Parts: sequence; C-alpha cells; structure tokens
Amino acid sequence: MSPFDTNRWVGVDGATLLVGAVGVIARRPALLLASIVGLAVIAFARVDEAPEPTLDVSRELSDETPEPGDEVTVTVTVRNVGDGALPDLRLLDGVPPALETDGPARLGTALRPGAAATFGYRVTAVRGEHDWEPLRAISRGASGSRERVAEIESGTTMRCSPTLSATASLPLRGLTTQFAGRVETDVPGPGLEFYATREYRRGDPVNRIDWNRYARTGELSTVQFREERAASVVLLIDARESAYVAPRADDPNAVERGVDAAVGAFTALLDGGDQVGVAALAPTECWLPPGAGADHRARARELFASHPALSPTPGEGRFYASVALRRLRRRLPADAQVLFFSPLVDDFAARVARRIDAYGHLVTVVSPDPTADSTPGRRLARVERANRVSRLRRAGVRVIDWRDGTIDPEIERASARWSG
Amino acid sequence: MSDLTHRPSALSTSLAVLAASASLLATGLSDPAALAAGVPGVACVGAGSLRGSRRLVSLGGLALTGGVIVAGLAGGGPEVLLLGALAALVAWDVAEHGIGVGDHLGRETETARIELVHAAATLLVGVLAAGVGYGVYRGVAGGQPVTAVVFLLVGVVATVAALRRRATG
Repeated sequence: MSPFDTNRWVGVDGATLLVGAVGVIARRPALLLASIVGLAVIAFARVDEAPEPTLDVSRELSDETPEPGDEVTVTVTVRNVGDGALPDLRLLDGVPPALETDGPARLGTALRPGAAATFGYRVTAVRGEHDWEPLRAISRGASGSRERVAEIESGTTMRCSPTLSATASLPLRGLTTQFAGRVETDVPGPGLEFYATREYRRGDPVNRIDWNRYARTGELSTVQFREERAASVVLLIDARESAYVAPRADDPNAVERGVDAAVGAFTALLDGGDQVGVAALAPTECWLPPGAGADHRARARELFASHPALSPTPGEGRFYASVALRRLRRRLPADAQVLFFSPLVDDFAARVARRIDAYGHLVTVVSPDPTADSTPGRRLARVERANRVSRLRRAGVRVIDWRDGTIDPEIERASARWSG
Repeated sequence: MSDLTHRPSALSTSLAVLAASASLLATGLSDPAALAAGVPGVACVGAGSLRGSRRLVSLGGLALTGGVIVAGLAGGGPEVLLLGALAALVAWDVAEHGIGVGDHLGRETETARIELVHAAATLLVGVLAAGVGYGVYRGVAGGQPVTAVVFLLVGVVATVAALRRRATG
C-alpha cells in the first residue's frame, strides 16, 4: 500500500509562525530565534518518509494439533530483511477469529536492518482447523508524518480435533433396526431386563424355565426378557449462519455447543452398538452415512475437527433450504432416527424438526439455549424460542432444552419426563 | 480477543509531563507571568495524555507556546526561550504520538521501543536546530539586531510557506 499523510504536524507551523511574528512585532529577537525549533521539526517531518516494511515473519505454535481447551503458546518472530531501518513499526497479528487470546497479539517496536523482534501470546484451542490471517504491519517514519500499511503472509494452521468422549447416553426412541443394541424394545427375546413369563413350549432352553413357579404350582413356564436392539441414528447439526448465536460475546456459540454435544452423543451411541451418521444444515455440504466400527469413528473425528460446515465461525456461501431438506430426506435411511442439534432461533429450524418427523423418522431435538434477558428484544427472542419448544413438544417431538453447563443433567431431567 | 485499553502507555504520559514541566520551569523562572499560561498547559498535556484526547493535548501545547511568548515579551534570554520552545514541542509530540500508539496497539502491548525512538528523534532534531540557531545568534549579536531580525523573519516565513506548499501539493 502506498504511504499517506498522517497530518499530525498540521498546526505546529501555525504555532511556529505565531512565535516568530510576535517576536518581530515586539522586537524580541530571542523569540524569533525560538521559532527555529518548530521550523526545524516541520522541515524534518516534511522530508521524512514512511519506510516500506520488508519483513520476514515466522510464527511458531507450541502444539500444532492440540486437544480442545489446551493452551497453545504462539511465538511470532519478525525480522527486518529490508535495507532501511524501521523506526516506528506496529505489528498486529492476524489471530484466527475463533481463537481467544490471553493478551494483545501486538507489538510496537523499532528495527534496524537485520534486527529481529519477538512477541508471544497464548490462545485457547477450540475444535476446528484454524488458519492465521496475514500479520498487519503499520510503518511510520521517525517523525510520524507519513504512514504505510502492509500485510505480511505467513501461513500457519492449527488443527484441533475433538476427543471422542461419550456423554451420558442419550435416550433414543423406539424400535428401528434388527441389530442387537441398546434400545429397549417391547419385543420379548434375549436380553437382560425381565419382560414377562409365558407358558412353557417345547424347545425352550432349560435355564429359562421359572423353577420357583414350577415348585409352587407344578406348571412349567418360561421367563422372557426385554430384547435390546440397535438404532440407526443421524446427528443433524443446524449450522446455518443464524445458528451462530451466543448469550454473551465471549460465550461459545450454539453451533459449537451443538457440535460438542453431537461429538458426545456420537461416541455414546457408537459405543452402545448403534449405527451413527452425521449431517449438517449448512451452506457447505456435510454428510456421513450411518455406520459403525473404528474406520467410521476415525472418519467422524476428522469430520468434526475440520469440516468447513461445522467450523466455529460461520462459513461462506448461501444456504438453500429446500435443496438441503430434499437432499437430506433422500439420504436418510428409512429406519433412521434423527437427533437434531439446533438452537431453534427461527421458525425454519422448528419446521425442519416437524418435517423430518412427518417423513416418519423419530426426532429428538437437542437445543442449546442461546438467548439472554438483558434487553426487551432479547427477552422477546427468549419467549419466542420457548413457544417454539412447547409447540414442538405438543407435536410429539422430544426436545432437550439445554440452558448452559454440561448436557448430562439436562438429559437426565428430560428423560425423566418421557415415557416409552 | 481480550479487550484492549486504547489509551497511551504510562511511559508516553510521563515523558510528556516531564517535557511540559521542563518548558514550564524554563519560562516560569524567566518570568513568573508565564506560569499563568504554562501551568494550565502542563495540566492539559497530562490530562489529555491520560485520557487519550488529542484536543486536550493540542490545547496544552498551545498554552505552553503561550508561556514561551509571554516569557519572550518579558525579555527572556535566548537560552530560556529555546529551551522552553523545544520542551513544549517535545511534550506535545510525545503525547500525541502516545495517543496514536495507544489507538493502534493498546496499553497492554509492549511499545516502549517506538515511543523512545520517536521521542529521541524529535529531541535530536530540535536540539540540533536550537544549537545552530543559538550559535548564529551569538555570532551576529554584535551587529544590527533589527536588520538581522527582519531578514530572518522573511526567511522563516518563506521557508514555512514553501514547506507548507510542498507538504500539501
């Protein structure tokens, strides 16, 4: 960028002339002499030019692949590789927007040719792939009369994959597939929990015969257990731009909380033997078909870590609602349940939940609450969202309203209310 | 991003107040009447630098200049006036620069280096000019002061006008 005037010396020449003029009118040579100081500095400011910052920037991370929540120390070294000195250099590092720093990522320094300066700061890692933006260098001459701004690129990337740790197992709904798993069904069969007894039929295993009853009544009867089956679950994450909302500026937004909850649910369900897939309502396509096994787990970890649709800051592009819904409907396996992670901040999200429900998939909405109550407008938004939640509940869609903190107690509370 | 305090650093503020006090001391010792302009000048420079207000700092600089003029009218010597003017200029320059740095980088950032380099550059230019001017003044002191002063004035006005045109053009 070409240099421009900072206009900071405007006014000093007026004061200089004033001192000189008074000196002349009052016939005080000493006063006229004093104006030479101002004159010299104005001349200096006039010939002074902002030097072009020719810098070599290297950025070092203490850990390029941290776990979420880790503190990463960033060390930035800036070397003046140009020929001239840089007497007034202000450096502003391009910290990725999703990362929080502990102090200023800035430095003011003066560099001789060949000299280097180092500054450092710490960031708290959050899930996702973070690219550093160019470092912004503002250079001025020694008098500060001219300024020049440059952006210096130094590609740095931090990848932060979530650890797949399970949350309390999310209660799933009803029967879906024929594989053994953790959904308790109303079908008698092999299992752990007592279901009923029935009359003995030839061929029933001997260890299932209710011997107490035989001793009491002389009749043979067979104990039946509740059969447990696997579910096919798709975790649908609302990552439209409108879902990037948080109660306060420094709180994690609803998409981050939704993805965190989805990561926990994914692990819990997969460990329970269910088939789990991932989808997102986002400008960028995101679909992982339900599956199981170590490969699937690794693919999901990769997807949660770096898929652009699930990044902690809103993605680029437009979201086409009807196209996305049609595509989702085509892809959802007929027997799949849907866990929908959405803050429910607009009617569209509620409509999606009811639409999927109407297609015949059982829907549970996990809704991180992003509303606040500090202004009348915010209170209105909170009431609107509460109405949306109760309308969904009336329509037979389960909703876990997740205010803050961890999700486990919310699950407990919600499942105590549900039956079957 | 943690919040930055967009204020000048303590170093800028203390340097500015120090320079302003030097100007006050020089002019005030020469003529107590200069204190009337100089004391509010120091206060304005200090307060403006603390609060990050360019307007206050400029007002303070102007008041210090007024102090120099008053001392000059009361017949202050060239040494006193040169020192007073130089210190007033440095005070204004350091305070204003500190406000700019505070705007860009905030109070928490390490900025001592640019502030010191900037103050030193201005001080160096001012001291050189004052030294040369003082030398010439002493050299011609035996001649016709009024004629010399008129020529000097024409020179000053012409130079300032020329610099001004080039700066804006």
